[in-house]
Amino acid sequence: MTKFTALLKVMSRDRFRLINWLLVADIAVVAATLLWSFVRQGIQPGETFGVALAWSMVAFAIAFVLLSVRIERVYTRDTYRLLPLGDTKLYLTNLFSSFVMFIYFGIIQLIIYLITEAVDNTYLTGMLRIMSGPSYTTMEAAKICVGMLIMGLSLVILGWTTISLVHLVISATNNFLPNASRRLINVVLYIIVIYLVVRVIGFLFYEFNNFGQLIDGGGTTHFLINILGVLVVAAIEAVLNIFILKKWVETTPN
Amino acid sequence: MTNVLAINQVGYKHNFKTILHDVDLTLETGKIIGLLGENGAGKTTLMRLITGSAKGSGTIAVCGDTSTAHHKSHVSFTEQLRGFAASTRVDRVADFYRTVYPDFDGARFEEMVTFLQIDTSLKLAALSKGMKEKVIIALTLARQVNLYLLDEPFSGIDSMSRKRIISSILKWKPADATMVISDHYVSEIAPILDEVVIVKDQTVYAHKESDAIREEFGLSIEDYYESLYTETEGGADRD
Repeated sequence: MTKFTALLKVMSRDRFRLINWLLVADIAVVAATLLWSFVRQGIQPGETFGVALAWSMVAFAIAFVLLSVRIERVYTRDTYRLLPLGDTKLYLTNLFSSFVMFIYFGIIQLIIYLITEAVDNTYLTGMLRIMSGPSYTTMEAAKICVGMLIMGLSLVILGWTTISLVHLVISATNNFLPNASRRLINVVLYIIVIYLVVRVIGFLFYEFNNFGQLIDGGGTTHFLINILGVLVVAAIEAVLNIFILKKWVETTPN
Repeated sequence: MTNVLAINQVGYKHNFKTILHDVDLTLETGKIIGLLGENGAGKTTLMRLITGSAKGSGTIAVCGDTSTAHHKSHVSFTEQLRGFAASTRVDRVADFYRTVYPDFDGARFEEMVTFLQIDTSLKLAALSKGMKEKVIIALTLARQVNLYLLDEPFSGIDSMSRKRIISSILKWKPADATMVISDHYVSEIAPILDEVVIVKDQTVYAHKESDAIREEFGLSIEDYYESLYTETEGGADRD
């Protein structure tokens, strides 16, 4: 049987290369943007960090999508589905591999933030001045950062389990339903997905806008329950995904 | 002799269309079996059901084990390497196999790479159809398992290489392993076949020993196979 470490190694190798390409592209775009600014009007105070931060948001979105594609590909390719291991191990290793790579991407982005911030901290101090409502202690500020980070990562996992659920349901129904029913199922699923995306984005905005108040008002427990809720939904989706994968999802034929 | 494969009442439908039904088949260890049938007969589907790549009804036991996860450790199937990017080099693909399959024999793979004249530094995208099939054959046979499933392994391979590969299969197959070859080059693979399984009318229509076909019917395997199609129009017996 294939060992977890062996599977993680082969899955991560490809994703590691992909993330590195994305990082190189991100740094190149940041450098090109700064060079353009320098040529046009000279680099403004705080611009170095601001440009790095802005492009990193795009890069995070691209990393999420690219890793999603890598996750989904595994479920319908014989290269992975023929491996001597159970579907539960395949599913969890696949998800874990992308999660680790996303964290790696985040750490490198953090290093880029620190470097650009060290060059010039005008942007961040200015941004904090604008944002500052109530004054936080260092402990509260740290709590906010950790809370936002955990919530963000939980939502990334939920995003991937939701994408997989939709993909696997479509893949499973495609095998046994006639064309007309398949189209109907696909339309229904698209509507459900759009609804879920809108709800999740709304939830996200609400949480981040009210996080400071929650901390001030002693609402940490409420926030933690929300994180737990996200993870429970992700876990339920993961169980459903593994079940569908085992029972109905076939690979693309030769 | 023990059975490497036991298929009991297996059926498969796709989009409400029956592809296979009531398939019963038992294969003994150590044999080379030709899986024959016209295009779309269900040969590939049958192989995919054995590997667990397709989901059907009924039970399939490989080496007595009915769990799909365990089947996979006994079966080596000619998969088309779709899980790799086109820019992946052949030696990287071999590294992948070496890492994930504990039964992958690196020395055997190297031996076959030399025999088949494969350049492992090439990217998958740079391989011709025939060369890609050779890579797939080498990867499939480099695993040391009980059951090999070769699905049209010689398509795209030139006739000279094809004959060389077919004549070397006996050397590459472990003595106690069973090999199922699905192919349209019936006359070329016939000399190495111990048995033939013919898929027709959405089921296993006939399963016979090669020698029995030659002795009982006085026909070559190819002629026997073709006769099933002409005879059924006149109503031949099913075995």
